[in-house]
Formats: sequence, C-alpha cells, structure tokens
Amino acid sequence: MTAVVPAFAPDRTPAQTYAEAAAPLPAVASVQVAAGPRGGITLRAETTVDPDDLYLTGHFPELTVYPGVFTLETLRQAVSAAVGHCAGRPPELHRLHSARFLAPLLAGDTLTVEASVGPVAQDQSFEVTARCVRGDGVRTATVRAVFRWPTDGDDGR
Amino acid sequence: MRLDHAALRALLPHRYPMLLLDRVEDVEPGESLTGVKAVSGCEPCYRGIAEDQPADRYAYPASLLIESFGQGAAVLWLLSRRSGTAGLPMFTAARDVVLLHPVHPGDVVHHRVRLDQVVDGAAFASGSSWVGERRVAEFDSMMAVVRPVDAVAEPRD
Repeated sequence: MTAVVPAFAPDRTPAQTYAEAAAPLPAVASVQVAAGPRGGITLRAETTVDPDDLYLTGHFPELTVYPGVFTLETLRQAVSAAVGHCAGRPPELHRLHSARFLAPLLAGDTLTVEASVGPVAQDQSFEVTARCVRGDGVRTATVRAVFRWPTDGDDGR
Repeated sequence: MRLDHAALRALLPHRYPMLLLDRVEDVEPGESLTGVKAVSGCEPCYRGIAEDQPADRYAYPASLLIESFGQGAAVLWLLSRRSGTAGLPMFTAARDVVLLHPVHPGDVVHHRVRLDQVVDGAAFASGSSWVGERRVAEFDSMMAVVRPVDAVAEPRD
C-alpha cells in the first residue's frame, strides 16, 4: 500500500462532514489529502467497523457485515471532507460507473480507502476512482464514480 | 401478489434500521417487482445533522437509496429461489447507477425492479426508482449473491 504524504489539509473534519448532511453513520475516522495529477487530488481515508453502530446492528443481527453501500458512504464522506463545498453545497454522488465488492468487512475490521479525485469539469462534476483495502491487506472494493456539486437548478427544496 | 412488512421480515435478514423496504405492491416471481419505501424524518440517518442546516442537506443518503433498491431486488430473487437456501444476501457489484434527483422526508419511493439473469448463484437486477411521476434513480445492473453466514465469517489466516 502506498502511503500518501499529505500536501495540504482536508477542507473539513470527518465530524463536520457527518453533521452537515443526512448520513447513516459517521463513516470516516480520518482523511488525508495530497496533490494529484492534472490538478486533481488523492485522498486516503480510514474507518473501523463498529458493531455497536445503530445501522450495523440491523446488518445483520447474527453477524455484523459492513454493507457495500457503506463503503460508498465512506467514500462520499471522505470526498466531501477532502474537497469541501462549492456555492455552499457539499458534493453528491451522481453516477456510479462501477462498484465491485470483493471481500467482507466484519466487526473490528479497518477499511482504508485510497482515491484519485478530479479534475473538476465545467458542470461541477469530477471523477473518483477508489481502491478499498481491509486491515489484513485484502482488497474489499473498487469503485469508479462521478460526484458533483449541485447547482442552483438542482432541487434541494 | 402483494407482500406486507411482516412478509419482508420473513424473507430478508436485515433488521431495523437497515430493513429499508416497507412493502411490495406487485411481484411476478423471477420477473419483476414494485417495492415501496417511505422516507421519514424519524429515520436515524437524520439524527446527526447539525441545527440550522439548509433543506438540501436532508436529502436521503444515496447509500441508503441504493440499498433499498437492492433489497427489492433481493426479495424478487429470493421469492424465485427454492426454499432451504438460507444465508445472507451480499451486494457484490453495480454498474451504471445514476442518481437523478434527491429524495426527501415525506417522499414515498417506488422501486421498479427487474430480475435480468441468474447465473451460477449470482443474480443480476436492473430498474429505476420513482417518487410520483419523477424518476429519481436508474440502475443498469446490480449483482448479488447469497452466502452462508459461516462462509462470510470464516476465520482468516
């Protein structure tokens, strides 16, 4: 695993990111950000699967398994913390090109997400490519997605 | 055929607050299904939002919307399987999922799910999610398998 040397601080803390929008759980414990190619950034985020988390008690009562969609939630919160707001709005997941969930994350497992982010297109969207690894080095997921900052035309109601 | 919440609890291992399907309105086993998810401000995903956040921050998390659709796909598949194949449905892959419009508390989401293929114990589903006449998400391909609990929790080297 390549260590990312932070070139600059993330825009917000994981706690701020969790508190500023609906989210099933605080899905990121730490985020590091570094400059990436073509004006983008790279990020590295970590979390640990907490079997006492309310949502995880229901997934599943007999065995805690971090759902694949929570890996997407970890990625969203990491991206949001890293890139911050545009016109007062955090970025949102817009398109999932592909996601593959390769190995389970169970209670106590650590998840490390390493992602390339950007550059930003004219429509305020940006590509994110992520590789997710468990504490024992096993790859748990790969994700290719498009995030975007909503514009005033998008209905936030 | 219509399935109430009790029937969904009997089919799916997910439990509160991760059982994200309220009922199924129509189902053709092995073919298609319409699942219903009513989004409520009482759901725990809204508990962590800081005071005085604007309305757009109350958009239902994309991670939970995708999971809700996936549970509809799991129900459709499980209804068409032979009994005696207990286990945990695991979301293993997704391709071209597009989130078109945000969903907010008070919205009732209808998932229109098609079962496209079942190959070697893996099911492929597609479809879309609607709030009234508005399509809020599209799912080109979602893949899931059912794994025995012991296989998911097997010891690691």
